[in-house]
Amino acid sequence: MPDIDPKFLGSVAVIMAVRNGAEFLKSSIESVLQSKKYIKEIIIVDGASTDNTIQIAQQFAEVTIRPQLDQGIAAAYNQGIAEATADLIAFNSYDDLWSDNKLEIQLRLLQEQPEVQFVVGRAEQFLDANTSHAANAAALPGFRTELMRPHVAFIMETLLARKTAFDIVGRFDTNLKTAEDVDWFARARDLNVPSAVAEQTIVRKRIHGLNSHYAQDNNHFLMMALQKSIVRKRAKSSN
Amino acid sequence: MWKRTGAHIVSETIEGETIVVNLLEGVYYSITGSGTSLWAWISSGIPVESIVHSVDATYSNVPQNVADIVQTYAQQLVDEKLIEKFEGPATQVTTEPAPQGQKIPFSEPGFGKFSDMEDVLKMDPIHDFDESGWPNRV
Repeated sequence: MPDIDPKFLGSVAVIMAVRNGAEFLKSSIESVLQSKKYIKEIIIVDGASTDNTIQIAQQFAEVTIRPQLDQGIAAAYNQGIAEATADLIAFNSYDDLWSDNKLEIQLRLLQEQPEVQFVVGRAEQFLDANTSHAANAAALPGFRTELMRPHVAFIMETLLARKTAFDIVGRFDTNLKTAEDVDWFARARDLNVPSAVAEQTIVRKRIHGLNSHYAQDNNHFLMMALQKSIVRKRAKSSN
Repeated sequence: MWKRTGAHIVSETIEGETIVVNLLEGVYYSITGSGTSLWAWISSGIPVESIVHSVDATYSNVPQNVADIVQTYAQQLVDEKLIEKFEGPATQVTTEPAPQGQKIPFSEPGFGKFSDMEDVLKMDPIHDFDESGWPNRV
């Protein structure tokens, strides 16, 4: 296997949009720093956390903390992208873990396929051992066991993108409270932006008590994103 | 009569077209024309006879074979596993006839299927929820 081009050393900005992430933030940052040699900066966009998020983040010299300026997750991502000084952008959540070779795997794909604008990979869910809620969730009928096995995941946590991808596809849509990631991937598809999928499991998503519930209007924003994609397809086929 | 095959079938009408998503399969659909009303009525357990009355109350220039159109459309939705037949109490509905001159011209029910986002939607747990929470099946 050819060596990773030295130009990729210190080439990645990692963006984390965090609000009250104290419980798992340290382990999340530590998992990211397994790829330290490729990382230029970790930017935490803090959504006015009221717990020890800031204090925990400040323990890491690699981390820059920025107060979030506008509301919503899409705005937080956009702020991070705007402030990033690296040519490559990756993302993680406060409660999820990167594999020790995530960036190396993805950078190799970008090196081998220079036309590719972004790379995702496989993820798997895992139960947080310290949370009884997670065990309760797993015991419920209908628990999606397939998500506990590695699966291709087009999610923020697996995404490594050239910064130019956000010029081509655009930034995240701040009109979407959720599904801003689905919308971005849909726009990338509709524009035929080249992408790649790493076959390895590069992210482990933590199941814990705090991520068990989502608002009913999640599907509203998802359907908004899909309707926009349909309109784009229609416009493309009539041209 | 028919009902949705499960809570994993979600829909919403946006800018005059109804988007239907099968959250488990990662496939989504665009329903247009009279299909937006037909989808709502068919998937709500309303019997065909009542749907025909509702179509007449809502639309002008309704074809004579509207009952066949409803049946054919319903079968298309069944084939896509969006709805399924069921036996049971019918949903009663009374659609007041639109005032003269205000009925919507009837248009063929449109149905478009999209599977280009399957790998993005299928395994994305964030859009799956029920009272027991993510990542449980809806």
